[in-house]
Amino acid sequence: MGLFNFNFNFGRKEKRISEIPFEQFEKIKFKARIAVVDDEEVPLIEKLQKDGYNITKYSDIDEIDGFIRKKYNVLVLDIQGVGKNIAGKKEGWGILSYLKNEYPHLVIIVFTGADWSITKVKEIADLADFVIGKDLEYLDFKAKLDAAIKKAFSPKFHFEIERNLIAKEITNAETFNKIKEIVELYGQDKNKTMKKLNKLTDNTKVIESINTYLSIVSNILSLLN
Amino acid sequence: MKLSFPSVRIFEKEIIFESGKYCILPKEFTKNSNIKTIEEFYRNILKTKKGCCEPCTGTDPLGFDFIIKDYICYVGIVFIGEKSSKKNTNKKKYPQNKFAETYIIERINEEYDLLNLNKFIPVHVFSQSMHELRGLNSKVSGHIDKLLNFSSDEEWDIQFDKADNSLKKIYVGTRLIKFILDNIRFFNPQNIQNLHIDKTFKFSVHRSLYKIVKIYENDFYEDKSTIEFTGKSYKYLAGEKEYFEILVKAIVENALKFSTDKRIGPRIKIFEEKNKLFIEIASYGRLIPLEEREDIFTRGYRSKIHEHTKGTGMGLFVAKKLAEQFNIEIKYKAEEISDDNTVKLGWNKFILTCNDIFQNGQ
Repeated sequence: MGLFNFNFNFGRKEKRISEIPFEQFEKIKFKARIAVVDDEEVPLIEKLQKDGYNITKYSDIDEIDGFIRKKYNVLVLDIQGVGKNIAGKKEGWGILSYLKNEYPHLVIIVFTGADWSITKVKEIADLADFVIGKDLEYLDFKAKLDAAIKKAFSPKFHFEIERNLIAKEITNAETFNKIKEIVELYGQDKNKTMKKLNKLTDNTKVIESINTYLSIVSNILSLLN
Repeated sequence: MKLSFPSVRIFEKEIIFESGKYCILPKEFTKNSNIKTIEEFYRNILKTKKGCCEPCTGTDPLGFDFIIKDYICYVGIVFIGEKSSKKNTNKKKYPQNKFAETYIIERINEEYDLLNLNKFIPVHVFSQSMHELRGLNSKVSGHIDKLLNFSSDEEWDIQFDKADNSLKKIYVGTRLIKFILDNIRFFNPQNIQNLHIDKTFKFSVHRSLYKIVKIYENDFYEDKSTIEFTGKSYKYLAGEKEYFEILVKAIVENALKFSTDKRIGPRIKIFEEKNKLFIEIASYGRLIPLEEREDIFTRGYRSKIHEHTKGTGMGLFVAKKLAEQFNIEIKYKAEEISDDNTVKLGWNKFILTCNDIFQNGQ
């Protein structure tokens, strides 16, 4: 059934949004677009690519907007030696901070040999979805990457991000729950959802937020076809 | 080592007050009528404030000020400035012990750094070297994983056993270097305090334990005891397995180190009982004395019977801290075999009880 869970509501078929089941995830995980940013070679990448993962390796990010336009699902980000041109002394931490504030839907794995100095930048480090040491074994690294892809393909994860934005705009609990219900119930049909939503609220920020969420879900769904 | 200012510390359960290099310990600390109260007060302070990385100050029942940072606690000081009480008679009595609070804070930080060798090896140089070492180790370990072509956790041991002996050795070398680097990392109390284990991951306890055994079976010692590994479990634990492996490694390494008779190697047993999973790691040798058993998990504690063996006293402390994260209890049990009244020999057993186990897929 996967993402296509049909629910009967007043005699009509609706496509409810739900998480991707394990079997389907195993098929589509290789479609996830993964970027690895490290100024040094990462021996494990070659093996992961050989295993079918769609990984693009960068030695640095020099132009952040261009990088964003490539719409990666997961970013594996080194800290030391990267981002000097755009983040100065903050290096990778600066990139992490910028990306998580501006593009929170991007799942970021901080990949560092400096995880023992993280206590100094704990607040920024906490923004990362995962923090892993560089000397992780192949199978452990693969497990973390799979978890990150799962997160990137999780409608729930993306909804939680928008939910926080919506909660700031909609203080009425009843309206908030109705929005959530509409999105959950009709989410796979973007036009229908937006029509129903427009009847409920004219708050542009909320509409924009739901629109973003539905576009992300739609992109995930397209991978299943 | 005598500290700069009067201090208090606990040594083998005894509480010791000492004069400092720059001023003496006020005699009130050694008065019979005060001893009980003051010992109880500082025992509590040393217990509750141990591990604090920022200096904390306060006033004791004798009216003297104290300052504590992690395990260094200066006592018998009288602070001058805003916080001091004008009525404090100690000021007049001990003019040499009067200091500004900011001055003492600077001194305790300095002394702490000195004791931690920060003044001799600048932290940034040390950290940079460690990062580089770790980075290089990751390159070697990445390449060796590629060569060994591990495809899944389930088949790890089969692939490892089949591998060329030199490849195995390189793999083991990278893992042992990683363990050393992990140890250094956990020397910093903040790295333990801030450790958060992601419970969305899960791993087979048996496989992780078996992997550690394989690593030590293939290490570089010529004259070593053989580990006897028995039992089987298909249970899983939630969390990141690399931390569980550091935990197990610390205890297995101890067991190997303290197996006094190389003909009798450590015995590791894994078994299930009443919805719990048990791991028993036992080594034959001199038993940990009764009076020390309570302290073996304390940071930096070294047993008297092993004082000539290399070690930092951090292994069991780190193991205990990691175990807490997995809701695993660690208990020590001595199984005495011979007793000639001078040397007690037997099995030093560390029993790990895993409470939150589940079947894969649950």
